[in-house]
Amino acid sequence: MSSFLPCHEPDRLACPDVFRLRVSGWIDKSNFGDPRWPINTPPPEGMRLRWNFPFLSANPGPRIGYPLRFIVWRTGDLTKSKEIFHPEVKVGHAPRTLAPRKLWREMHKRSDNRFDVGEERCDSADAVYVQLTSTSKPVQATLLDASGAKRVAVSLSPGDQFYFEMAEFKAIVFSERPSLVNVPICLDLRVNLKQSLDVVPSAIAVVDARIWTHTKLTDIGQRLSTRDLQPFVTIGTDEWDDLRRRGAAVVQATDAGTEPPDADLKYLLLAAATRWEAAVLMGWGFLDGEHPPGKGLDQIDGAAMMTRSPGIYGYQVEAQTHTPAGIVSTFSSAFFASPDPMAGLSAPAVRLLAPGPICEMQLSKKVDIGKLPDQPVISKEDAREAVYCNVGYELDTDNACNEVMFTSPWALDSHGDTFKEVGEFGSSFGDRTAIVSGFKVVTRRDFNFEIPFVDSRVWLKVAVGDHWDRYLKCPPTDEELPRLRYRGRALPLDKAVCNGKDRTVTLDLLADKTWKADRIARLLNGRIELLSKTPGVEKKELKVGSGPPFLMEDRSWGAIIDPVPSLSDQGILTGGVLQVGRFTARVIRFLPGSTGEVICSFEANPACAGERLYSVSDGRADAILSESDDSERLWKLVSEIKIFPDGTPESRSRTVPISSILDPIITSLTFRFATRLAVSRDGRTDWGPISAPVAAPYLHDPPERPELCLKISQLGVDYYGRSMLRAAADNCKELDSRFRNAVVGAHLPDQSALPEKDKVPPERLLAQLGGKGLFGPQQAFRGKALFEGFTALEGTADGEAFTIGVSNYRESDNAEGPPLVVTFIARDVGD
Amino acid sequence: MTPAVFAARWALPSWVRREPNIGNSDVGLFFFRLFEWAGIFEANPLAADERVFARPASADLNLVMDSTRTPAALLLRTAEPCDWRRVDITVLHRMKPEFERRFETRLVPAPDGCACVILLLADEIPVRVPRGEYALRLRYKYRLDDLASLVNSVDSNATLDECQIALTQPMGGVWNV
Repeated sequence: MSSFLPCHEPDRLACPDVFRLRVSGWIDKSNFGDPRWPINTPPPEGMRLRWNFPFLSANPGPRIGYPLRFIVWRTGDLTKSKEIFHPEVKVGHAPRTLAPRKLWREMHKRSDNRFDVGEERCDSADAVYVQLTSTSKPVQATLLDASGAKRVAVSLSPGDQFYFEMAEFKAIVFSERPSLVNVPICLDLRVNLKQSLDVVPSAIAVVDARIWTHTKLTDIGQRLSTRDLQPFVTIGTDEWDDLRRRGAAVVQATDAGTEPPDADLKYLLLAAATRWEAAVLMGWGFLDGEHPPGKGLDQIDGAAMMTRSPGIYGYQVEAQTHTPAGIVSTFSSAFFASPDPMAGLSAPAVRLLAPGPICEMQLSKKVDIGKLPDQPVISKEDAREAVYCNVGYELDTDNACNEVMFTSPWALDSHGDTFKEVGEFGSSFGDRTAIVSGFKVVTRRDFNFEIPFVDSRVWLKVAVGDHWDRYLKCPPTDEELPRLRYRGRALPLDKAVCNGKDRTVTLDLLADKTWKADRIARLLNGRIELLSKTPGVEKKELKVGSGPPFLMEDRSWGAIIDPVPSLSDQGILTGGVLQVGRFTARVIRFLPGSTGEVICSFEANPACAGERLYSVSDGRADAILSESDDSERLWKLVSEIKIFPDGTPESRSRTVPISSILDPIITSLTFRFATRLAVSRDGRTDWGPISAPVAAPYLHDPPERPELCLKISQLGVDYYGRSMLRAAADNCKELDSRFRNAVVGAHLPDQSALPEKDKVPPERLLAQLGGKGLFGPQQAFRGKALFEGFTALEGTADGEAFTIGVSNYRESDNAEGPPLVVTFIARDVGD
Repeated sequence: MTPAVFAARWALPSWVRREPNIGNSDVGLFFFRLFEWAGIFEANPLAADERVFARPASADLNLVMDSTRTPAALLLRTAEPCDWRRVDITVLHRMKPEFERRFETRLVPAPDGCACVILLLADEIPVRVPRGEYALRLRYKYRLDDLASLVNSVDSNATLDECQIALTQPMGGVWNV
């Protein structure tokens, strides 16, 4: 499961934004950690509150308007009056909020596999708790939120108790029907404390919602200051003034009943979301704890401020907005928190994902979006060669306080190029699909970023944070040298011509004067390799049966294949292709299974979880494993052409002896030649793709004339009148076993009466008149005896001369050499 | 009756196994090579009717001896060419009163089809001919696979002709596995 996205996307819903409150546990200098931005003041202690700002959202429904004030309500210690639900958790995380049991309710069963928070489309809750019976099947569960955008995937085993908090949690979907102890329950914090819990909260502060837009940083700092008036503010004056200006514009537009300026509103939302400090100064948050003496800007009830203690307190915020109908109150969701010190942040475990960093050269060209969307302006500059690195990491954390992971990929400078920072990626688990495994939440980060060069080592800088401005810088990962996926294209061959006489071949590169090797080849000892297809070696293909695909530990896929390929075949097929029906994938490796079977691991990128890569029947599918076209075994390096520093080849033609390809060469054949680029660094060589091969026929010399003495005997005449002949090497050399022998025979005309000049050599006469015998070219028996039958011999009178020619014949290319001519006196051997 | 069990010392040389089978156009060369191997072409000239290509007036069965004068194969000669692809020969052999073993055969016809070397097979390996009594069953199939039928298709009973020959072969070793 490289992908945990469900194969059937749930509908994305537009639900009204919910006014939502969150409260931290007790935070003071003991558990705040080192501040993210430098400051000498200790953090004011207390419970940190923050709320979102849905008041200006018009999606869907009318805008409420910019509030006048926020009233912070708080109950007394609920542990004394209410039953608090403490879920037992085996999978998920420890609760960040412990709420009265009354607020937990059963979920609505949509189907055997799915439970929803409520029947309405936009019903949502804040946490879910599920218990599997000890006899349940193991199941996969996916949590969906109301927007359909965030997901959490978890594997549950029998007896598991799963707890997870998720904003706008909407439904839990199981991969198959689970056996549950009870119907899943959810915690709904969208309640009014007074009505739902029958308690009387008190207002502990009234936060002025607008004063910040016209208050200087030095004055607004009192919202977050120690009791001895030291502000704990890291925002700069310019930054604050910018925020104020934007805030004022938004307030003004809202009050005028016009659309608030979108960019400004977004800026405010982002500032408050990424920095609790900004939210507090803007009146979108509050510290229930240490403040300077007095009521301050926010009518703080100093006596009511929280002190460190056990217990659980309920919070709610009331927003009061001025409308034409008067003052309207909007209540936030409730939140329950304990003024017990929160646990500190801790470093996550960071794992480099297989196959590790891979870099490649990419050409990029500047494209301007242009004035009209369909008329982009493409830069006239040459495309720039840039090296991009692709790397994936997995971050595990079992600390519920680690809410945000900050990651930034880095690379070393190289070849005069410096690494350009790509910035820090911060995201909380809610932002993307997270995988829960036991108490660990696993998130994956994939980066594709520009690095100075292919030899730049890369690593990941990691930090964790929470929504309360706590931040912990963690040790970076080890530096890794990226593997090069080299795609440099070599100048292909124009032609290859074999010279049979010299036994050489001349390879000419394409006369493309504009071709230049890429930057990697120029800097890393690049050369054009001239390759010959290895004669007599065929691309290996193996028909096998493949079991169903499954996910391997390194996130590649695997399938058991049978019959088990031999070890040498496994080596040959690694890097090749697995094909099952229409599914094809690159074979990564073969590895032994636990019971002697062999697992073929392959690359596959399913679009969604549970996607069937290929189908099997009775646990097996017909598959073909084939060797890669670029396999080392299939090609032989013949010669190399260096690349000059300017990227041009040292030469465009090479002549090499054929013996360097095939030795000894004994026959005519067709060679195939191709080129590719090779680059080397740190003793490692990488190759680009092999160019399209060109063919070059080689014509080998015909076989030589047999040089030996032959004894001819007539064995008899067969039923069809063919005189059978035996020609045997007689106490001399044997016939050459590399060849077969063709035998022709003829009764040649008597030339003895002709003048010498008119005599035709018997070899030529034989070529004209000679008839083939009964058999084709044959292998001499034990290098010695040939047999043939000639009708013409039977027609030759006793005592007349008969001539045969014996020549060497090469079966591989049908080449026949000149004959050894032997004339003998025919005898009547009868029939 | 059990098939003849293969005994290593009885095997004909391994090149025999690599030669083409009946149906291949070069099987005629194999026929010659068997006699070449047996040394017959290098031996003193034979009487005219003992030559390989001497055609008998009627079919005869001969023993082919190798250069050590050990019986190596049987040679069946006919007065006219025969389609040896249709011929199936089973050889029963005994030293005791009852036939003890059965040899399958491999046929190596002469190029004109008027003679055929019968190689005895034990465990599919060509072997020499042991001393003893023999019963040969020869079947000539009128209908065979892709070959043209030699009988009217209505006459479905006559699908083959069969004859049997019994003889005593006094030469060579005793089959003793």
